Amino acid sequence: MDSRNFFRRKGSASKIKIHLNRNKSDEIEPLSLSLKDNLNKLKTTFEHCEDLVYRKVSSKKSNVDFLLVYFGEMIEKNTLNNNILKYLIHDIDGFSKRKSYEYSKFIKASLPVSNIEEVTDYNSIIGPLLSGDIILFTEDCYCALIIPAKTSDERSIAPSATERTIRGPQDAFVENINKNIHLIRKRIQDPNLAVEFFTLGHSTNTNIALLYIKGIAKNDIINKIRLKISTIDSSSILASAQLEQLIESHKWSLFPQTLATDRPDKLSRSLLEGRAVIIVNGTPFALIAPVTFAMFFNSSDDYFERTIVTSTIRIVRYICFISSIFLPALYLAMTSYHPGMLPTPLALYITGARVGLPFPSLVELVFMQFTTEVLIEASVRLPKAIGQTVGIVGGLVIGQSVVQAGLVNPLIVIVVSLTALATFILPVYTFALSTRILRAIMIIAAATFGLYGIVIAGLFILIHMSSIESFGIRYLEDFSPYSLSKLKDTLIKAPHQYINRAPEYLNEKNNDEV
Amino acid sequence: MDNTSKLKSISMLSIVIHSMIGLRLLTLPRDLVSLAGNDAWISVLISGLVSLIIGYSYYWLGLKYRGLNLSQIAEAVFGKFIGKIILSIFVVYITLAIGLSIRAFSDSIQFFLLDTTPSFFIIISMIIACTYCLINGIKTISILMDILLPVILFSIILLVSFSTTNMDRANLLPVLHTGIMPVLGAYVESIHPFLGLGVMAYVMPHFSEFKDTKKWIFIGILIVTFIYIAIVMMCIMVFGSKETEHLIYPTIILSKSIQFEVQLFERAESFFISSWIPITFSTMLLFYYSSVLNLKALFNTNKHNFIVYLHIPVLLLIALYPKNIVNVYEYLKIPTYLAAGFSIISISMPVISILKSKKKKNNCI
Amino acid sequence: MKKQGFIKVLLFLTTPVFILILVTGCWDYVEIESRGYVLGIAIDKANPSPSKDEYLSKRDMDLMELMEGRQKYAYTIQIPIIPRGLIKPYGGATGGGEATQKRTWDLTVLGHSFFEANREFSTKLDYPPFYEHLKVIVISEEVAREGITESLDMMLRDHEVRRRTRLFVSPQSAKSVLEVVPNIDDYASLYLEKLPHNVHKTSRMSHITDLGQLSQNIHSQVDFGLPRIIATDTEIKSAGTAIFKEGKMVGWLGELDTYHGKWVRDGVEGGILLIESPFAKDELVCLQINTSKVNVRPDIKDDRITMNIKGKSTMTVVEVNNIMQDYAFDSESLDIFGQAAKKKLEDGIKETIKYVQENYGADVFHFNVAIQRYAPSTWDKIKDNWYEIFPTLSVDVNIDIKVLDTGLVK
Repeated sequence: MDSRNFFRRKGSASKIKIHLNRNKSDEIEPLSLSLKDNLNKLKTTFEHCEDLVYRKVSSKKSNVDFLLVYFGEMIEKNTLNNNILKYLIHDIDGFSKRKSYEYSKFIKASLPVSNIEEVTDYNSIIGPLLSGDIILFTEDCYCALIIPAKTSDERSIAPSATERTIRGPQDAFVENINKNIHLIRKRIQDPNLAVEFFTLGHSTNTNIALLYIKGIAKNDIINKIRLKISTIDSSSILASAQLEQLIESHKWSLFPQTLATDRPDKLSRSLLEGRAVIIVNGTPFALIAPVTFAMFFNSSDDYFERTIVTSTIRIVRYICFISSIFLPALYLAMTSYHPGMLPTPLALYITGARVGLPFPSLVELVFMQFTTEVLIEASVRLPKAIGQTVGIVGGLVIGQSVVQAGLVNPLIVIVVSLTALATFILPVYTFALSTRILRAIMIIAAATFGLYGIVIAGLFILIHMSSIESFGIRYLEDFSPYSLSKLKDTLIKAPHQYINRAPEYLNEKNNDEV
Repeated sequence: MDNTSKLKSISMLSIVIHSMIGLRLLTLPRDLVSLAGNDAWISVLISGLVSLIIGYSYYWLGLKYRGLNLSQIAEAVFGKFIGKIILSIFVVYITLAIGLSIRAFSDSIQFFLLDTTPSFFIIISMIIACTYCLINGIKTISILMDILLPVILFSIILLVSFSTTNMDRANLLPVLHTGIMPVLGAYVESIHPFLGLGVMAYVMPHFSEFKDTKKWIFIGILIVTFIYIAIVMMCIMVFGSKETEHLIYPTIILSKSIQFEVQLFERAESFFISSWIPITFSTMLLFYYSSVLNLKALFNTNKHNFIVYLHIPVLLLIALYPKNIVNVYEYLKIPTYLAAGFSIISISMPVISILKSKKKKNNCI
Repeated sequence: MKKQGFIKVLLFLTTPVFILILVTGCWDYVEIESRGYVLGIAIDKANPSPSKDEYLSKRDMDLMELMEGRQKYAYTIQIPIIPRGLIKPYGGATGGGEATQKRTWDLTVLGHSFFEANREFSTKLDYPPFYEHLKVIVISEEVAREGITESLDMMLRDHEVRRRTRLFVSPQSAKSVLEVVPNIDDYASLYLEKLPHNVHKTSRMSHITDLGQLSQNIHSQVDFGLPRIIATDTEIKSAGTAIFKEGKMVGWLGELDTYHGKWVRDGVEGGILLIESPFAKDELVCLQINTSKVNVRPDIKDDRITMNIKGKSTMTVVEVNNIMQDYAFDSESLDIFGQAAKKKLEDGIKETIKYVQENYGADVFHFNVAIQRYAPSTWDKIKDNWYEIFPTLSVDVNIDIKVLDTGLVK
C-alpha cells in the first residue's frame, strides 16, 4: 500500500472532523450550484488571504465553467498546468453528453491526478485548501473536487547533524512527514507496520503519525499512546518537542520519557523492538516511546561495530554518566569533609595547591561550573566559525588565566573540564542536559552533608528514577526485575544474533504466552 | 496504586536479601563473639538454617492465604480480637526497630562521617527518603531494591576478599572448645537480623506468580547466611575473637584495616562506608513498608499515604528520644525481645492454621 | 491527585529543613588547607634524664603546668609545612621547594594524656590537628618500659587515627627520630611508613606492626614485639625488636635474634641465611629465602609440654665468596647445602628461644596462643601460671630446607 494513499484518506477525514469541531457547527453546509455563490462564500471566509488564488476557466470544447481555488505558493505548478488546466481547457470532451451533476465524477475519472476527492460540504473543503490542495468547482454541479497538488520543495535528505555515525547509514529525517514515513517503510517492508494519522492543534493542524508494528508492539502500550495523543487539547504543535511534553506523564521530571532522534535506522530498530514511533510534520526529530533508561546510552554506531568494542564503550558511557553527576560533588566532599579518605600524598598535594587561594572550594567549584555552562551554551548557539573561538577563549584564556591569577585551584579546572567531557560522551543531547542539573543538586548536597549528602541525594534520584514510567514501562525496566536477556542490549551489547528478539516487556507474543 | 503493579517472582530475591542485611551487619560480629567466642560463625549458620524454616512457613502461609499480607493473615488465623492484639505487638516491634535503627545509624554516621552535624538532619533526611519511596508504591520499592542489590553485594564481597590478605585462619581454633551452649546463646542474638525476613510476608500479595518465589526465597536466605558467616569469620580471622569483642563497629574497622601497598586502594573503607548508607536505607524502607501495612490492617483503613505521613513524627520521636549511644543500644534490646515474640507468633501461625482447618474438617464430618 | 497531595506535603516538610540547612548548614565543612595534617607522633618522657637533655632541651618543650603534679609525657606532632603555591601549573617552579627549607614543624607539648596534649596543640596551631593521615608513632624506650597502653589509649579509641598507623620503639628520644630529614623523602613520617615494606628483603627487621595489631595483642593478652628504630641526623634504621611483656617493655632483641624469632612466628617473608660452606673452610655461602612455612604445635606428654616447631623452606644460593670454587652441580651437593643451612638455622632458633626464656620470660613466640588453639584443655589448666611454665618449656625445632638452585653459575 502506498503511504501517500493511506495518508490522504485518513488524514483528510480526521482533519474535517477536527475542523468541524472548531467551527462548532455540526450541520452540513451544502455547496451552491452557482460558481459565483461559492466564490463569494470563499471570499468572505478567507477575507484577508491575498495569497489565495481564484481562477476561472472554461472548457473550450464544451463551454463549461470551472473555478479553481488554491494557495499559490503551496501547490505544484506542474501539476496545475499539465495535469489539470491542460485537460480541463483542451482535452476533456463529452460534458454535453452528461447531466450537470455528473460533471464532477466525470472530471475525477478523466484527470491524470491521483486521489481526487469529491465533496459536497462546504466545510470539508477548507481544511484541504489550507493544506495546499486545489479545489475545483464546476458550474451547475453540487460537488467540488479536492485535487492534491502539494508542492514538495523541501530540503533533501542529508546526514544527521546531531547523531553522526561512522559506519551507519547516512540519511536522516527531514521536515516532511511523508518523506520520513517513506524512509521508515523503505527499511521495514512489512505489512504489519501500522501507520495511524492524527491531526492536532487548532491553529496549526499538524499532521502526526503513530507508527508501530502489529504483533510485536504491546497493545496496551499502543492504546496508552493513542489515548494520550487523541486527548491532547492544544492550539499549536509546531515541533515534536511540544508533543513530547504533552504526552509524557511526569512533566516535572528531569529525565526524558521519550527519545527524540532523526535517525531512521534507530527508529526502525525501535519499531522492531516493539516500541512506537511518533512523527510530527515539520520536525526532523521523531519520538520513540516507551523508552527505558538504558536506551539513552545506545548510540547508532553501537550496532555497526564489533561486540567487545561496543560493550566496552557502553560501560565507559555508564561510568561517564555517573562521574559527570558525581565527580565535582565527590571532589568537594573528599577535600572539604573527608580528606582522610584521600591517599596522603594526594591530600598533601591538593593542600599545596589550595594554600593561599582566597575563595573556598565551593565557590571555586560553582564559579568554574558556571563558566563551563556559559561556554557550552555559547558554543552551541554560535555559528561554527565563531564556535571555535569560544573554545579557545574558554579553554585557554579562562582555564589558564584563572589559575595563574591564583583564583582557582588547578585541580578544580581539571575536575570541571573532565566532567564536561564526560557529559558530551552521552549520545542523547536531551539526556546530557539533565545531567547538568543533577550535578548541581549533587554539589549542593555535598556542600552541606559531604559524602552522606551525596549518597542520600543519589538515593533520592534513584527513587525518582524507579518511580517514573514511560507509557506503562518502568524507566529502569532494563535492570529490574533481573533477567539475563535484558543485559544483552543494555550494559553490554551482545552479538547481533542474540539480540534480534524484542525485549520481553515490550513483546506482545510473550505476554500472550504467560 | 499498589494493586495494579505486580511483581515478578525474581524480585523476591532482592527483597529477601535487603530485609535481612541492615545496620546489624556493623555490630553483629561483636555481639556474637562476646557470647560465643571463636564459634560465633556456627551460631550464624544455625540461624541461617532456622530462617530457612521461617521462610518456608511464610511461603506456606502465602500460598494458603493468597492475596493477603502478614498482618491480614494474622487476623485471619487468630480471629479479629486476638489478631488485633498480635498486630499491635507487630506495630510496636517494627516502629521501635525502625526508629532506633535510624538513631543508631545517625550516631554511626556522626561518628565516621559528620562529626558536628546535628543528628536531626541525618534522621529526617533518611525518613523523608523512605517516605518518598513508599508513596510511589511497591513496584518502585522493588526496582530500587533490585538496583541497590548489586552495589551492596559488590561492596561486601570486596570487603571480604580484601580482608583475606591479612587474615589468620588459625584464629578460628579451637572449634567448640567451650561446648555448644555459648553457641546456642549467641544463636538467640544472631537470629535477630534474620527476622527481617518477615518483610517478605508483607509483599507476598504483590507477586503475580507467588509459587515461583520459593526458589528465590531460599537462595536469598542462603546468600544472606553466607554473607553474615563471611563477615563474622573475617572479623575473627583478622582481629581474633578477643579483639572483636572490644570493637564497637567491627565491620567498619575491618574495612579500615584493609592494607595495600598500592596507594590507590589505601582508603578502601570510604567505599564501604558510603555503600553502607544504602544498606541501612533499604532495610529501613522495607520495615517501614511493613509497618505501614500493619497500621493499615490495625485501623482497617486504606489511606496509604496518610499512614505513611503519620509515621514521620512517630519515628522522629523514637529516634530522638535516646540520650546517648549506650542508651540507643539499651533500647534496641526491647525490639530484640519483641522480635522473639514476633518470630514465635509467625512460626506458630501455620501450625494454628493447620489445626484450625483440621477442626473444620472434623466438624464437617 | 495522590501525587499532588504528596508534593504539597513534601514541600511543606522539606522547605523548612532546606532553609535551616542553608542558613546554618555545612557544619563539618572545613577547607582542606585549614587542617593540620599530623603525619607522625613521638612520645617521650616529660623530664628526660640529664644525659638526654641534648635531644629535648627546655626550649623545645613548652612547660605548661596544666594539671597538678608532674607532666608525664612529651608529645611531639609532626606537621608538614606546605609552602604557598606548591603547584604552579604553567611555568612555575614545581618540585619540593628549596632544599634548605624546613619541611616539617615538630611541635612538642607536655601532658598527662594525649588528648590533653591534643587540646593543647590547638592553642599553638591556627588549625586543628587532623589525625586521619597519621602514619607513624614513635615511642621512646623510657615510655615503653613504663607501659605502652597508657600513652596509646586515645589513639585506639579515636576514630580519626587509623589502625594501620605504624609503631616503633626508639632507644633514643623519639622526637629525634621524627626530626630526621631523610635524603630521598620530605617527611620522616612518610619515610618510616614505607620502610617496613622491606620485610620482603630482610628478616632482620621486625614485622610490619601497626596500632591494630598492638590493640589485638593487648586485648588478647599476649606478649609482643615492636620494631626498633635508630636514627642519626639524616638516616633511619629499623632493625631489631623491643620486647613487651604484659604491656611493658622488658628489653631488646638484636637483629639476629629478631630474625630467628620471626622464623618461629612464621613471619619470614624474605631475606637471607648466611652459612659456612660445607665444602671449604672459611668460606661463606649466602642463601636467599624463597618460601617458608613454619607451624608451632604443642606436644603434651605426661604434663610435659614440648613445643614442636616444624617448618619447610626453599632457598637459592645467591652468593659464594670464592668465585673460583667449583661445586658439583648435582642434587647431592644441593642437599648438603640444605643440611648445613638447617643446622645453622635450628641452632640459631633454639639459642634465641633459650635467650628469651631465660632473660625476659616474655612469650613473644606466642607459644601460649598455640597451646590455646591446639590443646585448649591443657591451656585451661596452665593459663594461670603461664609465666612460670614458659621459661621451662622445651623446644623441638625441625626445619626442612631445600636448596633449589644456584643462580646463573654453577
